[in-house]
This record gives sequence, structure tokens and C-alpha cells, in this order.
Amino acid sequence: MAGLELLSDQGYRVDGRRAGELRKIQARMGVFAQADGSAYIEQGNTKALAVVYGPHEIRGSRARALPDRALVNCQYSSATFSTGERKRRPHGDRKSCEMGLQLRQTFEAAILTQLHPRSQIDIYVQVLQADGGTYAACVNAATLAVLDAGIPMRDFVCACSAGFVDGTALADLSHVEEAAGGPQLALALLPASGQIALLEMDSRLHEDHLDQVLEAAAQAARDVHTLLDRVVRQHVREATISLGD
Amino acid sequence: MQTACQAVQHQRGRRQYNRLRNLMKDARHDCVLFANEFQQYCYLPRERGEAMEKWQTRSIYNAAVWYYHHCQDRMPIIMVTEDEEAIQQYGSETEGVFVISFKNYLDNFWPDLKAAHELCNSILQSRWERENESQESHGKEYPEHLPLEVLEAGIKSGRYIQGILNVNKHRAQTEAFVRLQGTSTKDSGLVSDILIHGMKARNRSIHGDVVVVELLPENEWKGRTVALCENDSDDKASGESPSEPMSTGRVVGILQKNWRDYVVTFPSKEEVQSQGKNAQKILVTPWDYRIPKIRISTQQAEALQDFRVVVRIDSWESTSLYPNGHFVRVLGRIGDLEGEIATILVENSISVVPFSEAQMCEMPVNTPENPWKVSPEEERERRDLRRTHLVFSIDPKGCEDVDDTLSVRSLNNGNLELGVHIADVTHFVAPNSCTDIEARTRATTYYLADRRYDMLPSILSADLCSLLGGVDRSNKTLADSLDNANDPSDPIVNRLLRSMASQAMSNALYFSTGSCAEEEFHHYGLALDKYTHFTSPIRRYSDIVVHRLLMAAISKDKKMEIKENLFSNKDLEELCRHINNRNRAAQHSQKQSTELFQCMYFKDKDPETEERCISDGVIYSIRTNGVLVFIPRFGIKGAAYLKNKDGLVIACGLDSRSEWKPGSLQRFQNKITSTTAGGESVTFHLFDHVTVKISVQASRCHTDTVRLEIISNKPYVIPNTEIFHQSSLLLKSDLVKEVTRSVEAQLAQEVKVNIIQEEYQEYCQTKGRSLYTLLEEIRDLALLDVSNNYGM
Amino acid sequence: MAMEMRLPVARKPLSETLGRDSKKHLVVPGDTITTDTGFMRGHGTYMGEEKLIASVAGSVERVNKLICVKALKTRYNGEVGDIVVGRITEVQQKRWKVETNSRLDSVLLLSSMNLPGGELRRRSAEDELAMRGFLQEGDLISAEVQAVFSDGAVSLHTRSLKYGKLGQGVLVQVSPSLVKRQKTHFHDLPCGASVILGNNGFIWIYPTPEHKEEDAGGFTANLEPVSLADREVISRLRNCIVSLVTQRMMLYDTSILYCYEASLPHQIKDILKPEIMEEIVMETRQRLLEQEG
Repeated sequence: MAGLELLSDQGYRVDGRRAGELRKIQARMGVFAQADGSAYIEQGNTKALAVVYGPHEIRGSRARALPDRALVNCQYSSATFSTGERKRRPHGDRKSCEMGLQLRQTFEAAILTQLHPRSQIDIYVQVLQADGGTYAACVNAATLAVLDAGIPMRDFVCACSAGFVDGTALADLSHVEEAAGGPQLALALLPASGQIALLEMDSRLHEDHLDQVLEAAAQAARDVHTLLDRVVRQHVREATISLGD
Repeated sequence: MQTACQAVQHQRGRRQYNRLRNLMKDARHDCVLFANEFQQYCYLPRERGEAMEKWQTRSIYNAAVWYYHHCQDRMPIIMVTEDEEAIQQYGSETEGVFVISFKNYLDNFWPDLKAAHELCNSILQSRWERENESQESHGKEYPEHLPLEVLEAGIKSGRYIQGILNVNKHRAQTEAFVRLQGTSTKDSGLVSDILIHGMKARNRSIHGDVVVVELLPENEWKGRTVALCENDSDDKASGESPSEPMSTGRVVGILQKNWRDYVVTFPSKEEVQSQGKNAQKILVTPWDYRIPKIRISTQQAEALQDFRVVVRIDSWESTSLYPNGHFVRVLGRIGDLEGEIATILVENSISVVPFSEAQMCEMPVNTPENPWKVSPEEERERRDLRRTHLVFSIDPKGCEDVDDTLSVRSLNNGNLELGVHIADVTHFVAPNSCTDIEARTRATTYYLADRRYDMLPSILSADLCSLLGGVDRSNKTLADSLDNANDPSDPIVNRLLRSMASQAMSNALYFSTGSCAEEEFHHYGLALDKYTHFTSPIRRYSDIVVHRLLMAAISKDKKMEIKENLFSNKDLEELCRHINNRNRAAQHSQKQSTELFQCMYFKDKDPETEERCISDGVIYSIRTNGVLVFIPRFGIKGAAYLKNKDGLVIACGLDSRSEWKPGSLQRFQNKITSTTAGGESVTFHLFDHVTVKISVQASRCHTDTVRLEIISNKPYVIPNTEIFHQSSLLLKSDLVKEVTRSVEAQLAQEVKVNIIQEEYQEYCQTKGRSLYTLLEEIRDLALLDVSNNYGM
Repeated sequence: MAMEMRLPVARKPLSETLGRDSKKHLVVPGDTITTDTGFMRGHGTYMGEEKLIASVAGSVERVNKLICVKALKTRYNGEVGDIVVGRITEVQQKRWKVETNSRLDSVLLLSSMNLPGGELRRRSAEDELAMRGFLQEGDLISAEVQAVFSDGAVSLHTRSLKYGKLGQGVLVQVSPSLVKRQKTHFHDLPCGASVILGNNGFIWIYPTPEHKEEDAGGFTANLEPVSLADREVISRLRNCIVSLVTQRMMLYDTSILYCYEASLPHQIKDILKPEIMEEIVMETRQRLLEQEG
């Protein structure tokens, strides 16, 4: 839309948020009984579902088994109804593969794979509604699912996207803001240690601004961590109560 | 309210929305945009099937009620709308929240603002008329403008050309030019401007508008006329053959209307009657020749017969020959000095409201009870030159705003140290303070013939920043070494030559270095590769900007913190555009006010009897039907015709006195010869001295002009030779003084400047004529250029 | 055919309905459990920068100097002596691979299996070839954990008559953490069915056999048709177990029995409706509390 003001003079974005404000996040763990771990997350209008199976015996070729650690296998898919226009996405297409690879890299960094040699962990993520920040939502959902499955992890993995408009860094971009064509990056962070699990950007950004945008994304990821932490604790508490002391 | 802004964008388009936003951004208007749609309590979701306008009105009302309660019901909240239904529906719903029309608001809350009331009435009336008028259509006078998408597509494809409309002042009805803008020059291959011939082809665009032009086929191309002429209101050419055809086109659309306030005069009684039927509607004539007559409706036509008023244009429908407008305010009587000066200011868009309270609060105090002193921190950080240097000013006597001073010292190694000390204005004017914003808007001090309008409040410009003698002041200093210079002396013609040469050069303009390639930095007139100035921060805003840049650069070196108040490149470009524009306006207004005084001086003097109306003049330009003459005594430049309206040419008899006889003119490169039917001929060469008679041609609706008539082809020798040696500067001020005295205004200002006699020997001040006085004179001459007045 | 449709309803968090809070120390990954270096670290923790950090979300358990974090839900971790129910996935040389809901598939060695007729002899090459005759891929067995390998894989044996191939019945897969450790896992419920509560979360419900099989060690499948009454009992039991799992209650014979009894007023298919499920489980909880207290 021509002339859309991404950041007004008073500091409001298109949807009324401030520059560093996140969208409303709601998450739930254990949505599927039959999977080892599952989670559903809503970040604003972006909805993602993650399901984890494992660790289990490697199916298919035994040769792929790693003798000292577990194999992490991620698959990303986007529902046909997830975007404004209904678009059929075959499973093997480039974007899905790339996303799957990114997710795999992210979680290989976080899951303690040494504890489960010769096994396989499957993470399946599906985006049900895409309104910007799909990678971040997928990572957040997958984190919760992995936690739900009881797979040991070094720390949470929290992700958020960030952009840069008019000299200000914006956190958690919506689809409108992504489509505007400005620079944007996605960051996955392990909050406790501050280590970056994955940083991805394929637009152009002046190096002077990099620090600012990175800081905005990191802060947003930490905010996400606070929220996810709360969700997990709530879930654990409920489960412990109902199981009885 | 945010919703109200969105509604404007929705209904009226982007341009109005941007105007509204710019008005709100201006800090002087005390306006705040409240994002009511993002506020939790104010937001109302739109109901199913609800019309957009209804929802917007409902949202705004809801937000108003919320705000009323938020302020604890302490003050009334007024929602101003013209929507009758809304007034009905919400008007009495909540106590303390009023929903009323604008007129109602003015009547009830501000009954004393007479000017606002008048303006409101006139706008309402014109709107009412427009609604009624649209019902009766007289048939189209002009073709419709093309829609925006078609225009943009046409420009992109090269079929149409975009440019700014420039109406020819002397042939306002027939000739207008479109100066090409931007990339269109390269694409279209056009070398010159495009001629728009006639009012129909101009299609309702007004001087200054950004228009879209379509070229006509070559067989319809016309040429422009190059002869001198008066400003006739009829269409036909003055009989001279036009030059060769040039690219001609017609306007098919207007991209941006650049309308401003216009000063107009009401028609005289006879003209009113001839305008006929609708006595309510009057055609008023703008002061600026280039603007067409405007139709306004007012009851006060009778009362305002002899007054000049300000109007604004509302619209120009394709069914109407003239644009519609509305009355804004009265300026003054025709011929009244204050009124005429106000006219000049309005026509140059110069606004000189007195400095506001907020600005005066920012000013430092300097009264006898509480004198201003240099603060101790400042004393520590600055160099103290009070004891070590003799600092003196070279501004004219009686000057109040001394921005720059000099000092000269002999150094031990035999060199001279030249110090240039500039008033430290940025010390007092903080960036983005009210004073700074007002100064930026003004951009310069406006010097008119008899007065000046300061850029900064007088406590700064005339007192604390002004480097007056005998008082401590802060300044910025530039020291330079130089060798001795010498000063030649010149006769009048040499001065003339210099001033003409400087006029032939292209005008220097301000620009931002971030936008221009380094090769284009050079200043043509001074033949310098890189040039900037910062010596007059009291009267030029650009110098304040340079001062701040300097301070930032120095701070960077010293590793002090840089305050974030410097402009970005984009803002600086915008600022340069603004400053260039204001400088042009200042120059025009200065020239116009000088002419005003000249006309007033000569107006009531009968040329036959008054000695002062006859003077010696030098021919400095030859045209096809006349010459341009410079009168050194008064510094007037004007046109003298050798062929008058009836076709008679000038002839000089044996006594050298001139007469008008039938004949013809022959123009050569450096001379022009007038040959009568009877065989007598007289030749005028370039730089000849002649005797001219000065008179004034009065005009009701427009400015009076000075007329020159050659009465003899021999130089005029004044019995009093002392006057000849006086610089024109002094005589001009005499002229102004006489005029203002006759209008009973006092302007004497004297500031005593201490001349330090004892150091005279050491510092070697020059007495008498020097390079400095020469430069002063040239500067005055440059300001007096009037050749544009006569269509040359 | 009857159809039933439901609209979404907001669900209430469990803790509200139960009205009590947990007193345990709950952690999530990344939380520091303690900075004291005197502790030994157990499962669910890792050492980072002089601190003991949790790696799963669950409750902290301290046994003297050992700290571990028990996750809410994990795959089955085998321990010697556990009863498991598993499915044959592969027939390999001299052993079967059994899927037991654990991280790695369990192994059932040929030598750990009882031969038909209860013979005790060394397995010969013919036995190897006849392996498929005993157990094929897809067969369900019950077995006991004999040993645990270093990588966590489990070795099973069926050296008892009560273990062996399972016949007709219903399998319910639940999370291993919900199965309570008891002395025996084979229960004959008074309602008319028997149940095997595998420690690995696989629960087998089958009709109680009239008489105990003496020979063959349970390799021959009993393929006689099961009566309707038995089948109804089995179905009801299955639904009860599912509802207990949904409400996150521990599974053992008493809880299942109480739940069965509480569900009797309702139709079998109604048990799975959320409100009835809640009601039944609530009642079960009540009875259990009464019984304890």
C-alpha cells in the first residue's frame, strides 16, 4: 500500500504498537495426546503448531544413526490456508526445506543430544496462519513441544524478528511490515546465557545499524522467554498437582 | 483525533492530509495528535454494516467523552463538525461535551476575534455559492483536466511533460512558459521552455503551479514577442512581429496547486456597474499581473472601494472563466504607505507577526537593573580579546545589528593578523527552541527601504548579539594573515560595467553538500571552488546553521559530546530550498519597496516645473523600440521608449530637445537610430549620456511605476557639481526621508559608536574613498536591478 | 446414524478445580537448581559454569546428595524387573526388536525366550529359522526387563509362563509416568476383565481366561470369539483408562476399578465426553482420597 506509515511521528506502528512492543502471545503445551510432545502458539495473528516425536529408534536406514548423539530431524510445512491467498505448498519445496534446515540448526544447538546416542528426534512444525514472524513462531512452538516431550535442553530457545524503519528498530514484525521491503532479521536466542542459536537476514542493512537492530531483537526474544517461561511453569504446576504429590 | 485525520485522508486525498499533518507538526500551533484508535478506552469497533463516516463520527465522539471524564469533568470539550446529523444526535448527550459547527463555536467561545469571524463568513458564503452554482452550469469554458493516473502514465511514457508554470508578467493573458522539471528534460529532448499561448491553453492553471503539458503539433507552434510593452489587458500583440516559433503546448492537468494569499483591489464604481447582474459577486484584480481576476462574493464591495484586500482562491471550475475565491482581510487604503508596504509583504509571503510570548521568555535579560554578563564558565572556555585586540566595526553609521567586526594587528614576524569576529548568536538561540523555529521560518532579516523586520528579537539582534562598541560581547573569531592590499578608484561607467557583469552571472543558491557532487560546489560570481559564509548570523539563518556545524566539527575534534540537533541531509535540502525562496522574497520586497518610495517621491512633483525631475542618465542597453537608462543621481534604472504607442518616433531638434514625429527605428548592436519621415535622424549609442524626465505612471490596481522620457540627447549638467560626487547612497536616503516625513513617520536612529582615536596611528584606518565604499555601492546597484520590469 | 456436534468451550485449569497447590520445587530448562558443587547430578540436569542447571521441565528430586529433575513426561526408561508390553518390529538373527515406547527399541534375545513345551536346551540353527513361527512383526508380547545396556536400550525375557504372546484384547498407550509402580502388574478385575499395566505405558485389557493355560507358555493365540458382555466390559475399561489419562491421574488397579464403577451409570460411548469424563474422574478422586484418609 503506497504511503503506508510504518512508524508515525508519535512512535505508533500500523497496528498501534510501539517500536519495541511484541504482539500478544498465547501458547499451550500438550495439545496432542498421542505425540510425545506438542505445543501451539499464537503470536498476534501468526499461529503455529509443533509436534515432537522422540527420542526413538531411527527408522529407515540404520546407517544414518550417529554413534554418539541423537539425530534431530525437522520438518516445516505451511498450510494452504495460512496466507491471504490460498497457495498449495508441496512438501519438498525450497522454502520448507530451508526452514527445516534452519530449525534443525537451531535445535541441534540447544538439545543435549549427547544423552541419546543412536536415536532420532523428530520435530514437525506447521504454520496455520502466517502474519509475519513465522520462523520465530515456529521456533517458539518447537521449544515448547520439545519441553513437553521431556527431551533435555540446554535452555529455552526464544526467537523474534526485527526490522529497521526511520532510524528506529522495530521488534516482532507483522506481515505488513515485512512486505514493506525494509531490512529485517530473525534471531533465535538462548536467554539464560545470551548465546545466539541462529541469526538470519537476507536483506540489506548498514552495519552502523546492526547493533541497534540486534539489540532490539535480543530484547524481544528475552521478552518472549518471559512469556514462554510462565506458560511452561503453569503447565508443569498443573500436571504435578493433578498427578498428586 | 487520529480518526479525524484518517477521515480527511479518506475523503479529500493525500495532499490535504499532508497539509493537515504539516500544520499540526508546526510547534507554534500548539496542536496534538491523539491516537484514539490505539487507546484502550477510546477505541470502538465498527459495527456490522455501519458506514465509514458514521463510525468515524461515533469514534471521535466517544473519544471526546472519554477525554472529558479523563480531565475529571473540569473543562468543556468541544467537538467541531459540520455534520448536521452528528450535531443532532450527540449534541445534548453528555453534559460538558459540546458538538457544534465551527461558526457556532466562534460565535460562542471567541466572539471578539473579528478577523476570524470575517474569514469564516466569507468561506461559508463561498461554499454555499459553490454548491448552488454547480446546479446551474453555463457550459464548459475549459476542457476538463485528465485524471491523475493518466497524467502519471503519460509523464512516464514521455507523452506529457511536467513543469512549473511561469506567466509572462507583461503579456499575462497571452504568454506563459513551462520550465521543465527533472528527468523530463533528458527524455523529451526539448531544449527550451514550452510556450503556452492564450488563456484557453493554460486551462485554469495559475503562475507557480506544477502542471502537465502536452505538446501541440508543430504546425501550431507560436513564437514569443520580444519588444518592450506595457501591461495591456487585451489579448492582441502590440503589432510587433513575433520571433521564430518555439515549442508550444497546452495544459492537460495540474499536479500541484501552489496558491497563496493574493492582494487584490476592488473595481472602481463604473466597472462594478459594467459587471452587471449579480451584484453580490465581484471580479477583483490582483496586484500581481500574472494572476487572473478572481471572483469573490462580498457585501462590502461598496465600502471597500478604495482599499486593498487579501483574498484566497478556492477553486476554478471548468464552467467558469475566472477562479472563485473568498475574502480574508483588509490591508489598507490604496496609496497609503502602510497599506502598500503590507501589500509588498503579502505578495512575497513575508509574515512579520511580533515575536510571541513563548519566544520572549527564552530571551536572556539585559536591563539596567539586571545587566547581562558573560558567565564564568564561558569566560573560562573562550579566549578573551578584550585587552589584546582592537576590535572595530565597519558597518554604516547608525547601524544597530552589528554582526561582524574586524581587528588588525601587526605580528612580530612582520605579517599582519586579520581577525574577523562574528556575533555568537548560537550561544543564545538553542536549536529547535521557539526562537530558532521562528528564525528558521523567516530565514533572513528583511530590509525594506524605510524599515527592517528582524529575524531575531531585538534584544538579541540589536543588543546582546550585536557587537556594539564599549560593551562585552561573545563572538566567534577567525584570524588570518594577509599582505597589504591597495584600492583603485573608478568612474561611474566602470561601476555600471561591474554591476552588469555581476548580474550576468548565474545566481548563487544555497545547497546541502550531501546532495551535490563536489564538482558542482563552485561559486560562479566569486570564481571560487568552495564558498560559504557565516558572518551575519543575526540576519541570516544560513549563517546560524553554519555556526552550529562549525561547533559540531570542533566538538568532534575535542571529543566533546555532539548534541543531536544537526539536520539530516534531507532536512537540510528542504531548509536550503526554503532559505533560497525567502532570500528571493527578501530581494523582491526590497526592490519593490525602493520602487514604492521612488514613485511616492516623484508622484506629486510636476515634471514640467520641478527641477529634480530632470536628470542625467546613461544608456546601458539597446532594445528594438527603446533603450534602458540608468540615472546615477537617484540610482534609478528604467526604460525609455523611442517609439510611442501611436507609432511616432523620437526626433531631436536643433536645440537638442526631443519631439515625436512619424518615422522608423533601426536597431544595431551598439546603437539605435531614429529616422523621421522628414529625414532627420538621431542616434543613441551604448553608454551615451542623455537628459531624462522622470514621472510616475499611476495605477489603481497595480503598483505605480516610474516613467523615463528622453528629452535631450545631450548630457544634463547640474549647476551644483558637489551633488555629482556624492554617492547615490546618501541621496537615496534623502529620498526615503522625505517620503516618510511627508507621511509623518519618524525614523531617526542614532547609535553612538566610540571611535578610538589614540590607536588610530597603530591601526592605520583609511579615510575617504576606499575599496570598501566601492563594494558598498556595487551592492546597492545590484539590488536596484529593474530591467525585469519592462519585459526585456 | 446419530451425530453429535460441539462448540468450543473455554476449559478451566485443573488446579482451580482441585483447589490445591504443589509444594514441589518446579523448574524449567535453564533454571539454576543450585550453585553448591557438593551435589551429584542425576537425570535432567547438566553442569554449566559452576552451576547445576535443569535441562527438562519438571520437579526437582533430591535423594541425599543426588539431585535430579523428573520430567513430566518422558519415554520409558527401562529398569530391571519392570513388566512391559511391547510390539515386535523386527525379526533379526537370534533376536527380536521390540518397540516399547522407549528411546531405543528393546531387544528380546532368542535365548531369553521359553521354548514351546518348556524345554531347556541350547537354541539351534533350526530354532533360529523357526523364530518367525514364534513371533512375527506386529505381534504383542508381555515381558520382563532382564538388563539395561549402557546406551539405555533394554533387554527383555519371557522366562515365565505369565509372559508371552498376547491374544485378543485392547491395547491402550499412555505415558509411562502415569503408571504407578506396584508389586504386581497383572490384575484380574472383579468386573470381568483382566488388565496388564506395562511400566512402559502400554496397557493390555483382555478377557479373563476361564482356566490357566498350562502348556506352551502362552504362544498359541486363543482365537475363540469373545462374548458381548466381555467386550463391553473391556470397552468400558478402555474408556475409563483414557479418561483417567486425560485428567492426568495415576493408573493402578484401584483407580481403574473405582473409575469403572463410577462410570457404570453412563453409557460406554458417553464416557469420553468431557463433562462426563470430569465427573467420573472427580468421583474417582474422591473415593481414593477417602480411602487413603
